[in-house]
Amino acid sequence: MNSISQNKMKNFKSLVAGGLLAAAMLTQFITAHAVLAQGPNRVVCGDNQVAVAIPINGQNCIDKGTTLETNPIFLLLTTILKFLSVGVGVAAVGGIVYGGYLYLTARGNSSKTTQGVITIINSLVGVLLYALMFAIINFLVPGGVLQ
Amino acid sequence: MRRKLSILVVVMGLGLLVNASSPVGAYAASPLSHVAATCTGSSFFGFPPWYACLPRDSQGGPVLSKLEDFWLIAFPLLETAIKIAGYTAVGFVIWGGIKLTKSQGDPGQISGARDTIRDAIIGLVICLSSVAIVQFLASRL
Repeated sequence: MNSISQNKMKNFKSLVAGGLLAAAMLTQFITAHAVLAQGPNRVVCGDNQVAVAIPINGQNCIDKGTTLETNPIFLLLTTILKFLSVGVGVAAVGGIVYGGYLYLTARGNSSKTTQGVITIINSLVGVLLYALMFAIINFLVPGGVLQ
Repeated sequence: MRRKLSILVVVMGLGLLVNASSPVGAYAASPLSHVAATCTGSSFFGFPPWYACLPRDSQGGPVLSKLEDFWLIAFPLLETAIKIAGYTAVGFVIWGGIKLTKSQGDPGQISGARDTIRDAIIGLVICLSSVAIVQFLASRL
């Protein structure tokens, strides 16, 4: 087996592992009924409600809505999207600080300086791509997400 | 050209510094502002503790009740990273100064020492203005 197909195999394996992990996490969030019904902080939901592990708008019980805005899955996805949106800014600031650190420890070495500048530019491109993603999602979803 | 660029970067950075010098200030406009405004805690060398921005219970212990609050742990870490960069930059400026003193008029050594100092200052300005850059991008896009 040559190195290229080995690499592809590795990529495929990590993709499958990541997908399984994400699926497991999502299932955990959605089917939180068993977890929330026990323990000291037990949550009891009504017949027309769904229990979720992440509090959505401060509540663990979500009404089983029929429209898009009241759909529990949609609410869960927008909650996760809001959570990760804050992380984009945090990660971008962290990337720029790391790039600046590489720059300030370069001591006039131009290859190290370039490395720092590339790190900073990549962080900024990441913010740009996030904004693009945001625009596309707001275009696709009726009513928009994240208001 | 490079000299002009570095002067521009320094002036820009000083202007930005007036507005935002800590990541905590950058989130004043974000949904987390009501909690981020209450960042307190004893510090070691100016490094805030990891729970500095988290809401507290009646005994002063940190509380993680909401999903969004997990990012409040990142703010003190970013502030620590910026402060480490600041201390390192001071060290490199001093090191560049020592090299300049020891150069004895040798043009190669002088330019090397000046490069060290210049890069340290530019890198520090980039680190300090990182919050303002991201905030600017996020507000305009």
